[in-house]
Amino acid sequence: MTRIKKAGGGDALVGILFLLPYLVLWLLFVVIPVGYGFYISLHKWNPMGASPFVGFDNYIQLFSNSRFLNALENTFIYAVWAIPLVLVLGLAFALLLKRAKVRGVGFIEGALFFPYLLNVSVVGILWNFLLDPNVGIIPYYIRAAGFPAPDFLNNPALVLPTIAFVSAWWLCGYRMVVFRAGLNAIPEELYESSSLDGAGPVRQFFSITLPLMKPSILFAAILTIVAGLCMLGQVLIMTNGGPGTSSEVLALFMYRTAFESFNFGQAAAVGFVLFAIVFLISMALVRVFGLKSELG
Amino acid sequence: MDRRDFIKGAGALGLGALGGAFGADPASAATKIWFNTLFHGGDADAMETIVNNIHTSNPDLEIDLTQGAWTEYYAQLYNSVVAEAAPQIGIVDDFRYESVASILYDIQDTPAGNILDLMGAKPEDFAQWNVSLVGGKPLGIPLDQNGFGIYYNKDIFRKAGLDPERFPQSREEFESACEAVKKVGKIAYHPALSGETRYIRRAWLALLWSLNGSYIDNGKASFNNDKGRESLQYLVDMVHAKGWNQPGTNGINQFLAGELGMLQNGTWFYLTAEKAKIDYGCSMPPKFFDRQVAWGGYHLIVLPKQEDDSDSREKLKATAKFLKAFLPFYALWGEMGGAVPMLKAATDNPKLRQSNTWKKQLAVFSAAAASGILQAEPRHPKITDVDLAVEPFTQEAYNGTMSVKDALAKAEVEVNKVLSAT
Repeated sequence: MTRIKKAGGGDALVGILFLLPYLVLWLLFVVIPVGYGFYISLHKWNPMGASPFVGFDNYIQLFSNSRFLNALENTFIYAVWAIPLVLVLGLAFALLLKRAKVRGVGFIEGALFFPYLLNVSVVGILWNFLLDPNVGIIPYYIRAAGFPAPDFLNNPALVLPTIAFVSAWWLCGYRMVVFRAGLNAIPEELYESSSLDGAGPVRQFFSITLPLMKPSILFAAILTIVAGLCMLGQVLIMTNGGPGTSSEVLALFMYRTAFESFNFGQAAAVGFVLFAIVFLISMALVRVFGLKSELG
Repeated sequence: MDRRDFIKGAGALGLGALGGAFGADPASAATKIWFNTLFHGGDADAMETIVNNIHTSNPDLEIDLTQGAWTEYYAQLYNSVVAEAAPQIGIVDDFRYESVASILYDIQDTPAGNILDLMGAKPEDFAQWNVSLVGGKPLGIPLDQNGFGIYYNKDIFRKAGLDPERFPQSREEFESACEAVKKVGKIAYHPALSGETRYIRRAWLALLWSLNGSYIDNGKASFNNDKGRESLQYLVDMVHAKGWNQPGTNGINQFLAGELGMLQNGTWFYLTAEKAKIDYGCSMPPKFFDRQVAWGGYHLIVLPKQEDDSDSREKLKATAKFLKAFLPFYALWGEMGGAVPMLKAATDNPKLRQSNTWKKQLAVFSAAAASGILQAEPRHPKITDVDLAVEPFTQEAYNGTMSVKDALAKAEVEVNKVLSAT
């Protein structure tokens, strides 16, 4: 604002006019729907009749609903598996490709990125077939190797880690591209001079690569946290929340509450709980990593 | 901006986009009507063929047919009525019928008059007209009765020394057949289609009904008793003690891979089975307990409520014309979709009776419908919530991760919570 003031009223007006299309769209498609969603969450919402105001009853009822609490727990279990897997694999591929001195690096990069182009339905159906206990190729090779094939999608202990792995397969290619961009922005001279000072690859990674990649890591981490905590498509297609409620995550619980039970008020409340969680974690990450690149 | 205005605006935007995507503009012409179904796969192909045929013989009727959104269908239907931008015609499963009753016209009392009269039809023309009634009022027109039967692989039956032309008729014969199939190294039986939670619950319900047990009664769960436990235990034993299959498997994959002897699946499986080039037969499940029962349901053609203006009235009249033109195609719906058409004239149609569908499975389902073997879930506005409350527990029992006793006790608590909630 200080700069705008210094630049003069005319420039400020031009700036605002440039921003206006975005602000109007943001207001129409984000602020109003989100505000209206919050309004719904405070009502026993019945679009065909009276919708009495219930205050925070929908929120209070949620926290005494064992199925909601189970979904909340499942969401965190999934996130704890999926988020590090996606980020670590993405970073590992980016580092390996940067160091690779072989032909066809572009092809490998393309192949690793390819799953990200697939729709979640395709990913879910594909992995359902791959993991099918009877016709799936993965259980087949595990059995062929002389081991009993785990029931990946029907074992309460395995189902969420399995879906997290599938998500990592699907999403890590895009994170890899983000990390590649971050890596390419680091000047080679820093590595050369640190080598002259006797720094090895590990020291270089922790003292140069990681600190200078903070913006990329932050961007990828926030994307992954949002994708992880709001995950729906994979469970909807692969397990429908089962076995039992072992993979029923918050987004699926919200979806069912809204679209199967027509309890839109409570579904909106679930949405806001999820929003609060994602927002708080994202803000904490911004605080830890900072928004400014150390490359200046 | 109040609630309805907001929904209207959002609905108009969404439906405008949908209209653009499908080339549909429900408001652009008085005789253009929008028909939105929940069908996909073979059912959707059948409906598209019928609608194209109707359009060919009635060029003045423009019909925008949209299909395939099974999972969000009811929410879309509900919200589209709120937004006063609903399709003129929809399809509803009977088990969701009461939950959307408030958004449907009484078809004998619409702003355009009695649709049934305009169609030139009478309630007596339909088998089981009473399935269309909610509170004594017809909120839809019965389209078909669907349900579960058992599809069996005749090659596996031959290999197991069983008569491929005669499906086991009693529980004892069925159990012997399962053992025979097991002995030749094949998987004997899958009671729950793809193994999804709702199919496990439906498989159990049929067994419960076979014991003359009930699901809900007087606004409370009524399954946590000896009958509930015996029926669920029998289902669990199929995939544990008896070893006819394993939990977590997909019966459709097993059947299509030629590894499964018998698969419980719906009327809609006909086209898939045909395409798989498997030599198969179809039968009703045997009488497992006191009576022979299979899980069943109905599809109803419904008219979602519209804004009350002259344009809507014109569209309702066009809808009646379309439905009148639809009546001769009930038989084709049975032939292509595999479900039992609810128009009496259709089930007697010689072309349908000579069709491959009839020979392969529809004769079996038609007889089962007529004799009451196909049993629908109880009608209740909260039946979906009841089902959602039960399914995790029946699946856990099926998987062997929870005892039958605990599963039903926990399911009962959850169902009663759902039913007692205001």
